[in-house]
Amino acid sequence: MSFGAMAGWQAWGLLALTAAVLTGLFYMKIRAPRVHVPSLMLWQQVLDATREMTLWERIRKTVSWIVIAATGVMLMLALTRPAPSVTAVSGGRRLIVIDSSWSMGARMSDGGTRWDRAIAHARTLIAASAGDEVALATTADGLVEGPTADAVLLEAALDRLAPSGGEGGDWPRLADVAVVHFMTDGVIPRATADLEASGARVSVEPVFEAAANVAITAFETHAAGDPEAQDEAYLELANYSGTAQPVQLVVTRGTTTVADVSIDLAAGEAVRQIVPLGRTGDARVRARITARDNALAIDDEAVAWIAGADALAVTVVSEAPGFLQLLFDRLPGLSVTFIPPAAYSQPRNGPEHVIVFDHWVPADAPSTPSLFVAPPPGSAVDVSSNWIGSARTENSPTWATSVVHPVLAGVDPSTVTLERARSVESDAWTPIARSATGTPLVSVGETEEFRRVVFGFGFTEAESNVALQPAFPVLVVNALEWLGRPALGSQVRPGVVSLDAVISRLTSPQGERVEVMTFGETRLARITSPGLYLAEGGGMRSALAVNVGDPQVSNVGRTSLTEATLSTSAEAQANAPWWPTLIAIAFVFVLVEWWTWHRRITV
Amino acid sequence: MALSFDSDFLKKLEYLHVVSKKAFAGQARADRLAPKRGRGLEFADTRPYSPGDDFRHIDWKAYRRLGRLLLRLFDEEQDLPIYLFIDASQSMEQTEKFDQARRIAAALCYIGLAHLDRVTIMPFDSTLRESRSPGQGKGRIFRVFELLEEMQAGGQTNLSEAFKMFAAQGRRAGLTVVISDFLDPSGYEQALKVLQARGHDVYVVQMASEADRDPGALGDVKFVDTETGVTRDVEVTPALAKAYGKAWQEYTDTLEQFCGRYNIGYVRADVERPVEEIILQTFRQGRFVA
Repeated sequence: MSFGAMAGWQAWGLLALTAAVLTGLFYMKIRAPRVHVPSLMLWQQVLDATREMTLWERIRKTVSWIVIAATGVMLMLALTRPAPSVTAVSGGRRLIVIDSSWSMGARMSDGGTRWDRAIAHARTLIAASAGDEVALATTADGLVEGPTADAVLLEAALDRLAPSGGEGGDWPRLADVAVVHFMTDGVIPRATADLEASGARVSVEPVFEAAANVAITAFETHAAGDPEAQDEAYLELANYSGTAQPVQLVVTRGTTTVADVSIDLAAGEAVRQIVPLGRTGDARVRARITARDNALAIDDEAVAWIAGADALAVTVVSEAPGFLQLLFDRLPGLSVTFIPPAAYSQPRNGPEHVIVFDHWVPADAPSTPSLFVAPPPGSAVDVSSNWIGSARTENSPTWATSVVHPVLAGVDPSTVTLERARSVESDAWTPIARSATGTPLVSVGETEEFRRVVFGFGFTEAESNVALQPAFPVLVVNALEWLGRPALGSQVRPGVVSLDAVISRLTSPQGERVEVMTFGETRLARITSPGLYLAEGGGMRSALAVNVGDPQVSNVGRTSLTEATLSTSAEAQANAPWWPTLIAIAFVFVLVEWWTWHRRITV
Repeated sequence: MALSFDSDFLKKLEYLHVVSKKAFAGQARADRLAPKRGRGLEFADTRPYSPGDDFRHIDWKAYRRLGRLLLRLFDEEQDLPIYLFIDASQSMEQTEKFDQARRIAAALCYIGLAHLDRVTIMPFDSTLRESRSPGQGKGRIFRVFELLEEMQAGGQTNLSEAFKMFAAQGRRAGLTVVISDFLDPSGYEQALKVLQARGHDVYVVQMASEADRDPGALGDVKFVDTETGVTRDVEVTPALAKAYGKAWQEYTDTLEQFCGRYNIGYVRADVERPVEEIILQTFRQGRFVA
């Protein structure tokens, strides 16, 4: 037997001390209250008559002492969290790997979760390690503690852990491991062959118990392109249980409830629904379900962000907006302000997502995402405004090459005829379209502080025919969207998330900063819980909706574990906490003592 | 304790008299029929005249008819000696048994005084204390109250010793009432037999209380004998309490059976009952008073 709450010697010492104290108390003479009686004559007679029962009294007293001591020992034993001894592997390191996928949060028939059972079993293993080094790892976090023989460190690490996804993570690696204990429910399959190939014995210890669950397995929103149409939410619900049950669905947009309906789901049924969200409203959309048989809570809520819900505030700085004004007057979802260059000043006040500089460049680089249309040549620009880079002019350039970039998506260069193009070149710019002679026609600049686009050509008839081509609105809208609304992905799951390169800061729904890591040109963040995250960078702000719901995660009634592996569940059951049983035995002992007390005649 | 009875109760007591199964010779003329012929009002018999007889009692009508001198005899009515033994040991002090005993004694005294009986109050514990006689006539009841109020409980019970001392005093036989809880480790049988042997008509009034019948306390207790101060640690379980209650009942039944066998009047007086009810109902049912 091992003890989860303390070392073995401490537990045995505690039990011995308890038995000793109770024995002392049992035999200790307590000061009895004095009762005056007229005469002890009759008491003497009664006591003399009952003295014949001495043998029974002795038996009764012995039974009573044993029962009292056993009751105390049982209660103390319950505190020590005992468990059956696991197979000891002496002289080798152990690696305890806990499956931290979301399905481990499924509630079981005893009220606890699979995760709770795995943690309890891990404690048992740690207690049984008896001085051997133990390392603790999860499939999401990798190695979290150890290898160490310090059980307190490992216990503290266990207290910190929680399911956090990591379905696709690698096996944690550790040298010289004799045994790997892998506690899993098997909902997300994992191959152990590579571990076994390294020489470690892998002991898969199942914590699976079939459970019924209802989940939101998909949730997306779409902004209506047409001002007359409504925004919509696409929703998928699934009932992973053996019986039909009603599911209450509530969809809110900001603080407004847009749907509150009860849906009857048959056993194993999945339904898809489109929920109209209205023409305007908050960008935050949240869906929540409640149901009777629902083991997993993490997939009961889903969030989404309607990227186009808020109008994009655009300021156009131009002496003669011309075609730009015609275009912006017709584009939905924009709030456009036209100002002459003389009215432009910094810092800027009020909401402003993007600034379009038409044939003009400010003296200082703007901090707001900016689109430069045909910046004037160097001689026409104030010397101090040369921050944008040297400008040279190429007449009648041909749009020859372009790279795949969101700004150029859907633009057909073959329809474009350019009369004059101005080259803007510096280290801050990356050309994404060039002329046949290599003159940059379209360039983008992107850092943590700003995001900018330069069109080397203008839209007047003297400069190009772009304004008359289908490419005109596509090119301009692409640029505005890239500048003002970074694409963050509509369905992001917890785990390692790839972010837009401009995102430098990520804040969780709880207001905690999430570390954003940079690998080359890639931005990554490790997200451990679902919710709506705030993403910032390049002068822009947006939201990242993270949801857990997935048919593979939410269907907690099945497992990939084999029957042979599951058959060891009996052993796992045996590893279930003993303390409830000990409490029950103590209660029975108390009843026995109560009975014997009533049976006894005298002392 | 201040003794007093209301006038209604006293009036009722006046109609009662203590029933004696025997006739005893008294010292003064009273209401009780004496065993000898005397100067009473009730005609009893005649006998031949002898010189020296009071010629005023010669039945002259019989002489004229029979020609012989016959002397008319009358029943003698004298007072009845009543000895009220009151247990004044420490055990009586507890649970108001002593107070109730004094009330009962006072009531019996009044009945006796109302019929001109000679009442003697005799408190005892392990020995016989100083006896007190309030006199005759119901007007002496206040003296009785005083005597009883002055009485203090204390000491251990020893019925045999006390009654042997009484027997040694050579008092005239009479009606003897013993008021006690009879919790005497040395026993009561010998003591009552002593009184019987001296020719007394004995009545027993057993004082009892709920505390005597049921110890009440459960669990570990230290019992203290109020008379001896001896202690005993006892773990009183329900079964033990039940056994004690049964023992007490057996003890009481044995006392009653003993009294019945030796023609001793027996009455049990519980302290929880009013003294009026005990005298007017229990004592009458027990043919102690009529």
